[in-house]
Amino acid sequence: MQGSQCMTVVLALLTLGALKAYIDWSAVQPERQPTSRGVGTAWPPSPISAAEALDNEELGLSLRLNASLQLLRQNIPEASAFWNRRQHQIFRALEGVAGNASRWECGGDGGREAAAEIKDFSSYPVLYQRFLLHGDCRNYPLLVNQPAKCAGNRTFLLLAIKSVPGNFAARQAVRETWGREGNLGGLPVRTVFLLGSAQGSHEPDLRQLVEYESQLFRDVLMWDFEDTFFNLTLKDWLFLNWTVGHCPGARFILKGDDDVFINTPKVLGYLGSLDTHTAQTLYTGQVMANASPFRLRKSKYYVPESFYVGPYPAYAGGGGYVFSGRLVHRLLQVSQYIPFYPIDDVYTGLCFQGLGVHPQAHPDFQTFDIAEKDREDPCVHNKLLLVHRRSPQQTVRLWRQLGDAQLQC
Amino acid sequence: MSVGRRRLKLLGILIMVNFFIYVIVEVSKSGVHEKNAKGQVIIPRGKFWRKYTPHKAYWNKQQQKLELLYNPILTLLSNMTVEENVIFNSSVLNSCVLDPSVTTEVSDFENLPGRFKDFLFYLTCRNYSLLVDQPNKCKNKPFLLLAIKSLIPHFDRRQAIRESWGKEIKSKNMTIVRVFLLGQTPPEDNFPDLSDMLKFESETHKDILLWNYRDTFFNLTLKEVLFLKWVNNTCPETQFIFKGDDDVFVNTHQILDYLKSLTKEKAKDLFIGDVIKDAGPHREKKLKYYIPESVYEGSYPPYAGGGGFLYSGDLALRLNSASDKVLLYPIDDVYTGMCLQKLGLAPEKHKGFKTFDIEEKHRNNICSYTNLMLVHSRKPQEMIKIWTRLQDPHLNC
Repeated sequence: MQGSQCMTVVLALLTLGALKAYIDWSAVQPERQPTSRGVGTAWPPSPISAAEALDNEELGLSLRLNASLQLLRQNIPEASAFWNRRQHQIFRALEGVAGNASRWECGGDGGREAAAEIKDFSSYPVLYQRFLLHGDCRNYPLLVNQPAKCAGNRTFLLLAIKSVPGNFAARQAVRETWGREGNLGGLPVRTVFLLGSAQGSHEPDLRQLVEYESQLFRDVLMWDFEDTFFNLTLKDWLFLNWTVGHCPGARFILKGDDDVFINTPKVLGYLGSLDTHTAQTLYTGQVMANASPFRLRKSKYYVPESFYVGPYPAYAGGGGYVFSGRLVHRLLQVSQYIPFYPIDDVYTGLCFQGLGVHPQAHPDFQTFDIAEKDREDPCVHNKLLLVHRRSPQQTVRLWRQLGDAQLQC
Repeated sequence: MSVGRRRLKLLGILIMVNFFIYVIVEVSKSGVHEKNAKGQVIIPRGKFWRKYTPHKAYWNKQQQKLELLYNPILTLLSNMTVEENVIFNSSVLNSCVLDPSVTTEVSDFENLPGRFKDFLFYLTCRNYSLLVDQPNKCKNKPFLLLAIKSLIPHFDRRQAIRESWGKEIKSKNMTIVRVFLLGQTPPEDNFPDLSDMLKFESETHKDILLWNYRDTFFNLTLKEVLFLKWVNNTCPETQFIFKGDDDVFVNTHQILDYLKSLTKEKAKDLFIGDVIKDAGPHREKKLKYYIPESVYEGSYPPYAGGGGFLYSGDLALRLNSASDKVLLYPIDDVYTGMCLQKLGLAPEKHKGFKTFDIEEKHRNNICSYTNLMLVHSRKPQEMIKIWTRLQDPHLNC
């Protein structure tokens, strides 16, 4: 009798333990793989053809912008989460006076107001808090410029590479390999590295070195903001602004990380083969469709529930994507109506959605890397456009192998 | 009546127990009896010398040859002093020509990973030129020389060290100087060319030592040997040396306090760190520290983990001469342990060296850092942050 009682208790405990282990296991989502949402909550593709949003007459633009923004509006739930509320405030303001851009002020109380508005602000990760406390400021001085970067030619491809001050080796590897400037097959290619400030709280002061580097290679753009993960959206926005001023004629822009490997000749071949219409509305890369915010606190991409609820639009993974230079100006315009989102590629996706441009998936962009056995194989890389990620040494080796006349694939 | 019986029973049990104890003691006594027989001369059963058995592993074989060369009795037989003998054989001892004999002498040479082949081909070569020197670094007879093993691309780590625990100090009663130890990262090994940047850095900070050898993991031993030679030539009067990696945090205050508290005697032979004893080579192929059986056999002498250790300048000079008598070994901190052993010394463990980090829950508590000397590993930002917080005059621990 006593024995069977003991057995029951032990069995019950074991079952509980197994249940807990199962729950823990199933709660761990794979990092950054798009999680599929239930039917109905997924983001529908834009019904507006991209070309429509792109007609050149300025008069119709704001109207059309409104049309695609309306679609954006439908897709962002009117929830009490901070970002959702802000976005809907802007939508409502748009109804009143069409085209009245929001003011993105610096040094105001916006940050502190945001902090007060979010109930569980104090439990946010520190970097998140800093992102919010910065408020809406989008105006940061350019410390190192390359005003003549695109002078004298009609740049066909502008490579805009996100880097951080300390990554000297990664930048040098890019310069020596796929990011080398020149006219490949008569198509001018230019490269810029996008950096935040080379000093900051507890950051080693690398200003002198970065300045020396920029004098040597003339390819560094550096702004006076802290170069952190959540400031990548700011970096992206400031780059678009720079492009309008200093490289407005660029046909295509490839935005990528400094640890990707890009098969530049193949990218040029692909871009050259596009018909005019596709070329002018291009936004392509590895597309994340039906993705939604990460709710695991430990994840780099964690988004608190009180910050944003709802699905993400389809977007091209930030490791590397290409888009038409003609869209830069419009992207900046539409970004006036969309508050910064802490994850840069999602923000870019929101802006393209606001323009009514849907990302085109391209199978040769591999931002989650390829099968492990293929990672050293030049023939596999010969077929790809972009792969993430490769160390500086791997990049140099692969580039040499691809350039070798004796390579047989 | 019943009380009487119980007593009787107890007595009986006690007698039994005593008897058992007696038997056990007697049996165990008889086991050690012959070794401890009083008044008798101990006669060993086996030989008390070791017969010369040639080693099978290549490194051990070569080391044995080297030792024969330095054996004063054997050299006497050929009518030479050790010095003469060494000079006589110097072309073989320091050869930088590829040694083709290893392909046949090492039993499984063809199957060894490439890094071992490279290492063995040039096992005797340690004569590399200094490309960037700091000849005036030690003209003020430093109290402490900080020597940090770095790699050319690690500009940010070096800068963080300069701004935090590796600050140079030049005052009347205390001089601390700093050098970074670098090898080449050549284009042949697919490294991007950062030589211009390095030149600029070296001119700005004057703390770079660059030698003309390939900066690989196995060549960290070369880095050690060349550094000891540099100390011998350019910094022989430094009182103490800290040598460590560029991803450690060092509480320089704590180190200075410790060094000042030492007696002269203790200071002379000082060598402290996170000491590893009774270790031997790893035999799993995938490990960074893997050593094949055909290369080395036997165990390792006690050695201080290469993340960072502290020793006297006097000892550095002796280590430099001892290093001539020890063949290069692919793992640098083990090599230093071997050189110490040659001098009849052993590193001393100090609990302030945390090369395997401190418990995670204590890492954000600044008071965990006040009493330690070194902790591995910390990022550049973390180094500056910890250092800044340690300087706080209101720090209350």
